[in-house]
Amino acid sequence: MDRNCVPCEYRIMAIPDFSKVVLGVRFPLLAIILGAELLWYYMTTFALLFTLSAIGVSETVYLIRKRIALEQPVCPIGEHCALVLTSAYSKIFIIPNDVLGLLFYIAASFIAAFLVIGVEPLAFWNNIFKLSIAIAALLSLFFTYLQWRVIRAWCFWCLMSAGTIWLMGLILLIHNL
Amino acid sequence: MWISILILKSPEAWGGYLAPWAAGLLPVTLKQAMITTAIVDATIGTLLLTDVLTWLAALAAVIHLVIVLTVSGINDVTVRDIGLLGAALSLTIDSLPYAVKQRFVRSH
Repeated sequence: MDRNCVPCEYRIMAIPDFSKVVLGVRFPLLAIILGAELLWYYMTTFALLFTLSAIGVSETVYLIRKRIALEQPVCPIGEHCALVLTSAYSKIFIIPNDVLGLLFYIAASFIAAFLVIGVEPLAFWNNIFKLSIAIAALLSLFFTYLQWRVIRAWCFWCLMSAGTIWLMGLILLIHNL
Repeated sequence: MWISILILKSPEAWGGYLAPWAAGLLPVTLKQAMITTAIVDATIGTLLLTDVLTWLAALAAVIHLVIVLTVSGINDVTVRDIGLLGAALSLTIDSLPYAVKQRFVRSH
């Protein structure tokens, strides 16, 4: 490579040289790269959380529509979806679990959007986000236990929702490490 | 829907994808146009997610993607947009109301 030509020199300059980074010569370049990486990491976390919330919205809307139409949902794996979805544990007080799930997923997607757009107060949204995901993850654990030990039947949609929420929790946990 | 959030975050930056000739045709400011795009994107996404008026949302997505491909020119994400256009077109055809479908299906 001809080190005297201007374009080639420019290309060499574009590659971070860590020995010079230590000396602070290319610190602004490193700062820009790290800033971009941090922004990308931050955006990716919320992009994933938002996508998972969107999947949850789609799933719960499907279940609500099937329930209102008095139809059985498709049960892709296993045969006991209807048994679980019509059990005594399918409601908390008078609110069906699918409605609660939908409210959670809608709230989660809005909060993720608020955090990305920068709607104040950010600290409040951040805490509410963590708290709601923690509560949802614990409730999902409880519902999974009910399927396993009490109802003794597995529901694909319920497990999918639980998996979605646990994955959201895991992503948030990794993000905050 | 995610893209609509990113557009709302920085509408001017996303306006950079607009070709200069297309930006000149806008009857509103670039920021207003991009915010409108974000709202359209979010609406289409919500309708598709909830399976409400799917054919209409998919048709809107087709029109939107054709406009995007026309006004943004060839860039790194053109291939993705072509793929999305194919998917939206396929969904439009698949989710057309029965009465509309019957007009295009020949009886044997």
